[in-house]
Amino acid sequence: METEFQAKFDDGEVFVRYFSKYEGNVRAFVASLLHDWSAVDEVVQAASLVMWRKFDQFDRSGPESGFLNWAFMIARFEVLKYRSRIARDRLVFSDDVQQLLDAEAESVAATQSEREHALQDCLKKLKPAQRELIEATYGSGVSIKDASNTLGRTPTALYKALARIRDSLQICIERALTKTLTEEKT
Amino acid sequence: MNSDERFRELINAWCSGDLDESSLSELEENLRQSPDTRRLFLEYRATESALRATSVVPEFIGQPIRRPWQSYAVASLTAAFAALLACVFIFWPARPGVIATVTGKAGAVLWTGDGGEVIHDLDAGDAIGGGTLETLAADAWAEFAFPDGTTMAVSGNSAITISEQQGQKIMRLREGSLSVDAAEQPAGLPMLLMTPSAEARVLGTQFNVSADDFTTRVTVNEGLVEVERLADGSVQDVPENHLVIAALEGETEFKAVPRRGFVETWKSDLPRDRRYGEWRSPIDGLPGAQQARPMLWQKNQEKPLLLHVASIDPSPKDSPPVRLTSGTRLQIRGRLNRGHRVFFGLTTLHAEGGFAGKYLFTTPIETDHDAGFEVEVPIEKFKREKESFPSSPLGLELADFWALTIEKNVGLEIIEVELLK
Repeated sequence: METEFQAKFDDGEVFVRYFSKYEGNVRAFVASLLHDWSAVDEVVQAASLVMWRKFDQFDRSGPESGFLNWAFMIARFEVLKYRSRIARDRLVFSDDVQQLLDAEAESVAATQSEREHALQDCLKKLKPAQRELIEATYGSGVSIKDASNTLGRTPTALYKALARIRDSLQICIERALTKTLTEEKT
Repeated sequence: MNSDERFRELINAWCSGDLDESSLSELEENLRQSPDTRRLFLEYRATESALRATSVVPEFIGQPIRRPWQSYAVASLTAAFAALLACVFIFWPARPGVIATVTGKAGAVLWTGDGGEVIHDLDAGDAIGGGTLETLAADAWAEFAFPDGTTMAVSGNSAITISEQQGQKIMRLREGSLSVDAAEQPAGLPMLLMTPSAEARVLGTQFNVSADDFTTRVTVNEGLVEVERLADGSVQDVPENHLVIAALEGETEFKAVPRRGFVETWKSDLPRDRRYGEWRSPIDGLPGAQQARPMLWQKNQEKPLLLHVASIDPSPKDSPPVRLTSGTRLQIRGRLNRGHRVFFGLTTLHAEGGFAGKYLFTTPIETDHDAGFEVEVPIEKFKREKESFPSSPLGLELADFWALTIEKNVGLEIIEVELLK
């Protein structure tokens, strides 16, 4: 019994290590399939608990990256379950488009940790006012409308400013990821 | 504004939740048509996710800030971990040798492990060891994957026993339909697939198998499969785009023949095409018909549902595959003792490929004076059972057609099914 206890304790440690490492990837994967961020939170949480319950069934004899594929599979199932029980969001895509995105989401989400690293560098390149705007909207989790009141700007102006910042961050990140990929190849 | 800028504008508006109907349609159409736009969309979404996950001011605190949701997730896991530790002194079942992982399922699926463990509620992510997987209804389906990348899907009324011995996969399909996408198998250890009438040796290929007590049909889409007819031990190599039928009786020729080109129309030929149900011969001026047979569907611990099911194979023996195309409709003629809701379904395969999905149409049916009915359903009206299936059956091949009623036996009979253009 003591050995079993130790084995399950070890399981828990390994699971927390894996999950901490890949949580960002799973979140990015789910976020690419659902629009609403509270839904993303709910699904990631549900998926994490399913993974935890089933972790003793995960084959650990293979490479560690196998955990990510396994986690994506469970997350995908949780997204489907969520979609089937929640009324349609206005911004949900039609089924065929959703399928196309679903088929390609894993490959983008698989590089999420590299994306997060690149984001840190790209954020440093923003002007202080832009960083403040990002922090006000993403950091506090408030709505654009509330953030616009706090910042004394109209929601429309805030949308436009955020769009410009997202565009520049996106371009910066893609450049960084491409550079990393090129360096790895050489 | 160039097209790239326009896509970025649309994606930004979607991310902000500020997209009107026409812009949403425009974005959808771009996503549908352009892989580059899809990639861009997914990258924006991943960056949004990263923005929410990390602080924008890491240089001030030395490390990224964790967002509240991350604390919740960790708290949930910590609680689950603590609960597990508390329970660990209770009997913990020994972990069986894992052979495969369930990757999807729908309908009534039953797993019986070699140790006698019976599971009604298999779920995606569940690991399975040696044992028997049964899909118990016409609309049921289960897919599982092996660590080497081999995937298999069983559907309809099927039963397959899975085992692995010293790295060799050994499957026994007792009855039903199986679709296999086999990764390259280790040298000297081909995957063995046994049915009541044949044995197939597989090194790496995509093929579909249907089997009953007397006949096995193996259709190979890619690669090569060696099939032995158990009745006399003769062997055929079945290359891609060929099929072979191994029957216990000696009348059916055992020879690999090219898959015939698909057809877009089809008419059932009963009782030859019967897959599940009892054949009732013509009597008293009534045409012969396939009678639905009862079947219990038990889901988890819920009260079992009684179904009455009849299913039909549209491509028996070496008949050409039936492809579902736009503008076609199914005409179903049958009988019911009294008016009742009837469910009609299609099991489909990818064109020259493996299992694709199941599609359903249901309607209340009123009978005429002699209890007969005739229903015509455009193929587009059949809706997929699971979101993971292709959104429409158009372009797919028909693997079987079924009709069923739930709870009440209302004497469902199918006289004829025809796919019309």
